[in-house]
Amino acid sequence: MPKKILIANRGEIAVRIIRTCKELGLRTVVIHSTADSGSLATKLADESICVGGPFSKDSYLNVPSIVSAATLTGCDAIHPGYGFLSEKPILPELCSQIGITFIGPSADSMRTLGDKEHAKKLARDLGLPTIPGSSDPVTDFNEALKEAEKIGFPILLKAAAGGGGRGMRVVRDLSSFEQEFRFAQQEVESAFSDNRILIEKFFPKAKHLEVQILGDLHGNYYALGLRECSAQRRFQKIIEEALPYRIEKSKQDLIAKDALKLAKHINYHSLGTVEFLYDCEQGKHYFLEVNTRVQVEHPVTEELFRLDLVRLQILAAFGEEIKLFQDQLQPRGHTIEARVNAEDSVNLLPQSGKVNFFHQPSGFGVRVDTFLFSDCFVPPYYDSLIAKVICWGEDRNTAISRLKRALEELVVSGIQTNQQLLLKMIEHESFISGEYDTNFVNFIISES
Amino acid sequence: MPKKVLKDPQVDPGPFTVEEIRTIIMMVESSNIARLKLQRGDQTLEIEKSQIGTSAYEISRPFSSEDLHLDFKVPTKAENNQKFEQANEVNLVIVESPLVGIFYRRPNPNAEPFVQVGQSVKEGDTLCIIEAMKIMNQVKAPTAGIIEAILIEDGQMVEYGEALFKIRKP
Repeated sequence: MPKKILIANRGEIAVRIIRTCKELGLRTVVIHSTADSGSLATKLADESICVGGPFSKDSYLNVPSIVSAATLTGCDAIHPGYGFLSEKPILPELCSQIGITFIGPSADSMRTLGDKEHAKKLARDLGLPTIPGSSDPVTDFNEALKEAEKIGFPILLKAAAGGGGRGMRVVRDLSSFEQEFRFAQQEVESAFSDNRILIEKFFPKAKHLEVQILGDLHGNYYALGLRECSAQRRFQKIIEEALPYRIEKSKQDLIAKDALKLAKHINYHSLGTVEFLYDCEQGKHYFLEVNTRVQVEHPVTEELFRLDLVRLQILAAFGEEIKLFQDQLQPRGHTIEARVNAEDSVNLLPQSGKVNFFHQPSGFGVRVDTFLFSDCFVPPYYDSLIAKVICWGEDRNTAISRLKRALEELVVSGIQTNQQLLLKMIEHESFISGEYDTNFVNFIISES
Repeated sequence: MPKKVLKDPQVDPGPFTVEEIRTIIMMVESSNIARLKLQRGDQTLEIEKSQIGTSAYEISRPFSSEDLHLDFKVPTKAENNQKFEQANEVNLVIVESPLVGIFYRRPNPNAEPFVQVGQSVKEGDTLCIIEAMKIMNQVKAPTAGIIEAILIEDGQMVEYGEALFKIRKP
């Protein structure tokens, strides 16, 4: 009997997962909020269930509604997608209690790796390089000063209690340290009611590299190449590519090996991504964190290796052994993904509204993952990603020219998007040379 | 393309709902079908068009969605709500489900239903239970009034926002 799967997500990833499920002969149920009632995912899935009002907390984060929807429609599995509940241990825990397969890692893996400090300690214990920093958060100024001097300037101050860039400050030298520390403490105290500060080494010229990991329940683990995601703004990735262009193969192999070591150690039996910071000046990599889910930019790896990662993830979750042979593990050519966001082209604020006409580019080496269609509605309640344009080329220059052509062909009429900004980025010499770092996007924006 | 949430036959679909029957009749009436027989498990639905153009039907067994090969348009929740709202909007209140779960008209299988059509209710009176993950959630009347319609069958699964009751305000 074909199995049934509930997709607990929305937008482009829900569509993408539904497609693979259909190919596997699985029946699909997609949940949605009232704001997503007419979405592409609800049209493609075999069944759709409204689980709550438009705000995420009422719908896509509504665990009882989602689990209810799964049990009442007789689902055998839940795929959480990315974001929302995908990294919340409660979901795999509940699934295991009620006998539903969770398409993702175990609750234990999620818990271990979800605590960033815990994950860092684990990595360090395994011999992975980690960013030099205070081993514990500090609250006292003198302690902080001692740590800063031990690590060496420039340093980064971060909130121990939360993310989103709150309290994050770069301190270039000793002279400004006291003032910046006081300000940072005030900021995190008001944001999180917790004045603990983490101190880390800051790298002025760095790249963001990550390794795609795949594991199954039979002890097979794979590192499917690296991706470079240095083109980011406020920790949101905008352009990703594989393989990293300016990093020697031998270095990439070392980084992949480290990632694999970590995955094997905790028996990570699903899709995951191990993220690293790469210091361009010293050519050294440092472990950052692990994302225990399918990643937004997974298509970049898929097109490079010609592998359907979501398919492998689902098969692995259902207990199948994933055997990939050498010839399947050879990357070919180069892939680049551009994230098309619904945002004001000037102030970059998220946009919502009706897309009265949509045309997606196509042709050899062009893939578009989206939930858009002509006359669809982009609701204001969720993140601004509306499409991913992924281009493959025989080499990087071909991939870039293909992406340029695809972005020029793309039509999203009715709301503003970052199309022009994307074109500006991929035409810039810094991107073309591959030398760009994590300051790149801010630089491009300030230039416009 | 018109699409409907078809309740999965593997998950006990239960007896016919009024909505299902209405839809099938509409479908037959607007087609060239003279006679339609649908089987669901051990129940059958038969619809026959007489020469004058009216339909007669009898239900003896429920049908299987796998037997239903025809594509048909089912009024969406929004369209249903619209029809409800069109009828005497001002005094009519639609009570919607606040969650996903199973709709029960009674506090337990042996008790009387909480409310019947025609019954007068006060604001805050319990109208039904929606069960989700073994928790029985009571749905209360948002206003005083008379129960004009009960839109869901006992034991049927409901989604968030699905219309449950029509209450006519005094």
